[in-house]
Amino acid sequence: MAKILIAEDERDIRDLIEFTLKYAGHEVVKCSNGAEAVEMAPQAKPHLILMDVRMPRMTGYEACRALKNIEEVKNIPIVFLSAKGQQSEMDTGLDAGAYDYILKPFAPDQLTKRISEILVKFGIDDK
Amino acid sequence: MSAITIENDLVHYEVLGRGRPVILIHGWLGSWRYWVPAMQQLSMKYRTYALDLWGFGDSGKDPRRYNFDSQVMLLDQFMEKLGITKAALIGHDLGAAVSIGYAAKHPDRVPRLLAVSPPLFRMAPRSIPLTNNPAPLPSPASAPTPERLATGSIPAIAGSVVDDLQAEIEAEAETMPFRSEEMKARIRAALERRQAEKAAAVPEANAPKTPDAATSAPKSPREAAIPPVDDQPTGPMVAVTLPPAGTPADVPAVPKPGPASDGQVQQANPLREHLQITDPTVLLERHVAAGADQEKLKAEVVKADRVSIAVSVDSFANVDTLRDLRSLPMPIVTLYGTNDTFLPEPDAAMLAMLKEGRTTFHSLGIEGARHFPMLENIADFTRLLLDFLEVSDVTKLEIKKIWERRVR
Repeated sequence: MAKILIAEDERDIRDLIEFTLKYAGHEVVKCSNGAEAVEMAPQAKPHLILMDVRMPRMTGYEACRALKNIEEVKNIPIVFLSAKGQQSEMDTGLDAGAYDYILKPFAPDQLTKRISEILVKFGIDDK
Repeated sequence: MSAITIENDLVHYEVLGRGRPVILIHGWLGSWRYWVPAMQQLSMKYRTYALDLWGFGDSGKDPRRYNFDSQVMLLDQFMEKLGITKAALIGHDLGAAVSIGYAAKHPDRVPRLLAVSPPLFRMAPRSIPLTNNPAPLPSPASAPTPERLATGSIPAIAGSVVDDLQAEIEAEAETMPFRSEEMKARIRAALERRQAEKAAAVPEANAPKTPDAATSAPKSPREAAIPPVDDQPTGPMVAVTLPPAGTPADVPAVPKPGPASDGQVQQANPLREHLQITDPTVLLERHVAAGADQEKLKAEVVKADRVSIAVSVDSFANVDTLRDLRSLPMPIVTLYGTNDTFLPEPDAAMLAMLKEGRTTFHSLGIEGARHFPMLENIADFTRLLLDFLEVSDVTKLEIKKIWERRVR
């Protein structure tokens, strides 16, 4: 199982993701904006970062670019959570260094399945 | 993980979402975890709580709290501690009975109640009239405890009524409308076996016991507290012994609940056959079709203290869930899996009795589901749950096969 950092400013969604990932057996650390994610990641050293696009203080894109410039965390896969209707922003996110997108709203089991696939691709044990 | 202390012991619960409170209560084969998909779906509109009852999951395992009344008390104290003044209750088998028991005591605190596969039997040794003014529950002091189980005081008490009731039971075996021929034959065989055992009891008691493979291994203190099958507290019908575990087809379901009327002699506790004799993980395999989630369920089932299951089943002898259910004033829905072989849907006569004169009761079956509809048919179950929590008239509820998006 993996350690996953969640950066999401909406509490209900953050709680739901945390609950879902914990139920799937993952360890979860969480924060509520991009700036906190940049601060926390080097210490928490997660296997994967799940990040909302639109957050206060520092957006997901800005945080992603910042994380890709930090040596010890630059190889951690970053997955954006983006609301439907923001698909046009996908390219911006991928240009910023994100590995993938998950569209909101998502079914909890779809989230865990997708996370699991990404972890396997990155050679992280998901057993 | 969230936990509170009640009576100096840990009660584990999880909470998700914001909104009106909904409390989900698990049954004999599991813990809070099998509500996870329901909690995820409800969390956008409701604050959902799922707790582990005493002896289950990660809650305290003090055998003094395993009887049914203590589980009802746990729910009461849980709500009190968390400041929940009112909550819709969703319970599954044991959890359904606990919800019904709580609602009977505090109808003003339960705006609506969904009972999933509730054990609707009238199991007290003497009939309790079905009225709208339920008699007070028997004192918790009379409920079985592990100590009483271990010391055999329960069998002694039960034995005092065995002879009294034997003739009635024999008559019941012939006349109870919901008993299958196979069940009748097994009851007769068990009664004959009991007679033979009684006759042989004295010489056997003096004979030295030879340990066999099953009993020679040292027992852990926890295992030692569980009376062996032959020493299980015996109500009138407990002498019915199941054959060794085999395929699911080998094991009959708990008898289908039939109609009960005032003054009728109540049947013995049929749950004993399943829950006290058969290993819970084996039972789980027989009664769930939850696919990949079965492993997660199994991990939770093994956490349960078997003494807790045994005591709660035994204390059911003092509980009349059917009477309580009939007396409740709030909107109530009972829900069954149509393929449930563990606690099957009540027959038409019982449902008619429950519906009689009421506009707040409804019963539904989820097609193809077995004992765990919340895991076996997540989509249908959660749609129903959302509708159940919203509608003003529960009798209009139905299982929706296709999601009907409401346009405002």
